[in-house]
Amino acid sequence: MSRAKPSISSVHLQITPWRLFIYAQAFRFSSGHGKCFSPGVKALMIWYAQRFKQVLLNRKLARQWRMYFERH
Amino acid sequence: MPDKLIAHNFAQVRDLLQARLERGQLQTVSLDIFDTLLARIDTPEQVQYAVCREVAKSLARPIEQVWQLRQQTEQALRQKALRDWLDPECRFGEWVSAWVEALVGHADLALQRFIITTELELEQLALYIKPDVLAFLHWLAQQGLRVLAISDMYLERAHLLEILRRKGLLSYFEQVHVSSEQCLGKYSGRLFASIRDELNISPSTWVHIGDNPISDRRAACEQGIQGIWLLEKAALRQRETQVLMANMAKRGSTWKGQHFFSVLEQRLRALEPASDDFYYRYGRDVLGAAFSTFMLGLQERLTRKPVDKIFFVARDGYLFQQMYQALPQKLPESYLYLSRKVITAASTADGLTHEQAKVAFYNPKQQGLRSICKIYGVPEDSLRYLAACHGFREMAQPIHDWNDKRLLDFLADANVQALIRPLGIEHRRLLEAYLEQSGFFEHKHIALVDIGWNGTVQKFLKQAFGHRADFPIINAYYFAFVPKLYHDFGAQNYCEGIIHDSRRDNACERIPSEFEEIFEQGARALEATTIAYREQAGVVEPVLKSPTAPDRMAEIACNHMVSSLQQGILAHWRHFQAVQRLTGYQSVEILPYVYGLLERAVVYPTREESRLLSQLVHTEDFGHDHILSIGRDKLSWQDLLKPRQLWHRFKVSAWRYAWLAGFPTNMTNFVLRMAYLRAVKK
Repeated sequence: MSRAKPSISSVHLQITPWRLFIYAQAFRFSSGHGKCFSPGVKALMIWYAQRFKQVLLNRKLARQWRMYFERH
Repeated sequence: MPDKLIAHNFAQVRDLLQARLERGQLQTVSLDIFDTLLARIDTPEQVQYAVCREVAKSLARPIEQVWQLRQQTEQALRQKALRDWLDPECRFGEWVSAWVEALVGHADLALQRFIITTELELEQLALYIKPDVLAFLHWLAQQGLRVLAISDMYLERAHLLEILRRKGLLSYFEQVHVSSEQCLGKYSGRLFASIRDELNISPSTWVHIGDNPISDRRAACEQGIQGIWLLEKAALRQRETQVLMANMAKRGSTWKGQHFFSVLEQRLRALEPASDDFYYRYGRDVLGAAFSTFMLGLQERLTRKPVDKIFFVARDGYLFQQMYQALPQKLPESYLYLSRKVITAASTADGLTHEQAKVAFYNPKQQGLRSICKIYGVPEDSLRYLAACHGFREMAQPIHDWNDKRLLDFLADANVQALIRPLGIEHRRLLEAYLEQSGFFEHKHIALVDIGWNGTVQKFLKQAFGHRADFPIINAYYFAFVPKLYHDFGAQNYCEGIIHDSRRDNACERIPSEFEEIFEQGARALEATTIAYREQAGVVEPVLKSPTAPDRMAEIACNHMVSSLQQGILAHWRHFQAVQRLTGYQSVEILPYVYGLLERAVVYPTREESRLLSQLVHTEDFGHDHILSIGRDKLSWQDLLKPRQLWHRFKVSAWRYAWLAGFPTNMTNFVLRMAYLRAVKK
């Protein structure tokens, strides 16, 4: 779990759902009240599946990956 | 047929236009409006849904029904346009008229106006000028070209003119054309043809720019106009993320908060200048979210349980008052100069009880009888002799056993009480006069707003003046309410912690209590705490702590940081209100995410946060002159050899997690968090 990056001048109000999920585990492993700000495993999977789909549809990034594989 | 041109930003568009200018092939430039000049912080569907929410609220109808009727009337009008051999477009005025008829069964001009005004207001809130647009339009204006704005949109020309005027873009355009006017769209090419004929433009000298490859490039090119597709990938990804966020928000849990703050983040990025001031950013990105959600919760409660007047309690109520005053609709409100010091001093009018004396010992730096004297405003010298008689050699000697026989005897001594009581009576007289003067007893039902934590002020007000017939019913709303000291607040004395209320027994919402000082610093007024009252020319005025007191001097040195924090919080609050209106989320829906946001800030701070927030000092308003360092203590490997001592230091530290900010990973914080949650009393 890497430390959050120092804030820069831009606005940062977003915490990734994954990070929230990890933070919530501290409650789950101690007091048992972990659902408060956990996004939920199922929703987390759906979120990342959708994001992955977006990344796949992003042809520029796909091109970069193709170039990466061709080079290595 | 013109070339298939793609530009990825306005600089590339400019280069393409420059080349045509040099060849003398450019006289007219037209631009799409939405997603080309103006971007949105949320999807158009969300904005339309927000309009339906406000209409549903005003008509007391289910929102889904209002939404369905909107969709149906829109579809009917678009079908009608198709039957008339036009493009499937509709005018907003006609649409709203049909929608209102479907909603209430007859024409209602007032409701029509309300809907149109609301739609325009919400569009204004959602739209912002994309970066580089102003510079590009300015460059275009300097070239002496005819510049047009063309949009496929259901809003009418007058509405678009209003939107462009409010955004400061109208002066750049010679004319504005919209598909809804003649039911002719860009996508069919018929709107381009109509404009060409109307303005007698030669297509070979006309360039159109827009974000839609069909409407803005292909259809234009088919008319002989050079269309340029503005393909900004970042904007495209942003729109995809907006749709995904809006869909995930339907799942509830933290997703609504995630959606809310993603919209807010976009709005802040678009409309607020970037800042290099850490404290401003911390106020905007961390404290702003917590305090704005608190204010939203406060608004909701005041709507559910109306009161006659709101009193914001010094000093931490200062920021809340500033935030409240920024609201468009508000109740009468006032600021009360109160502190635990003046309240407790007044509470000794009937003598000092053991329960009251114990309050002085909650401070980790308590100094026994001296603390009691400071808190209750009793001169130390007057009690020194009597204290010695009961075995106290030093007034400043800490009293750790609260049932110390010497203390019990001291309090039972009639001479001690005879010294304390008249002072208490005078304190109470002045406090009562100040409250009367402030209109505290003039209303039947009032709200007290403060940061929290124990409700001392509320408790003692009721205790001291609850016997008065005109004592109001008090609804006290706290940022965090942790009634460790008192449990019984008396009848008609309601209290609630909006962000954290320990009575709810939710471990996750306890996060403000893990670092109370930062919330108090963020909310406090810059002026000193109230230590007494004095009468001058028949007016009772607060006496503030001297600027030469050691703790006050430390506060003054930190005031510029606190001021920056508050500017950031207020910037957040301005945009928070706009986003709340757009999304319609209630405080309870975004609270889970806010807890996550605070968990990150308090438990997993960055090194920068740990270092710079440690420069703040904290004082308390209980009569002491102590300064509490909220900074991180240095942690050395030797500390690990004394784990028991280290654990104790962790437990009493103001911000225990800042100690670990020097570690390269958050795992240490995670482990400490688990250990602390296991150890702490539930």
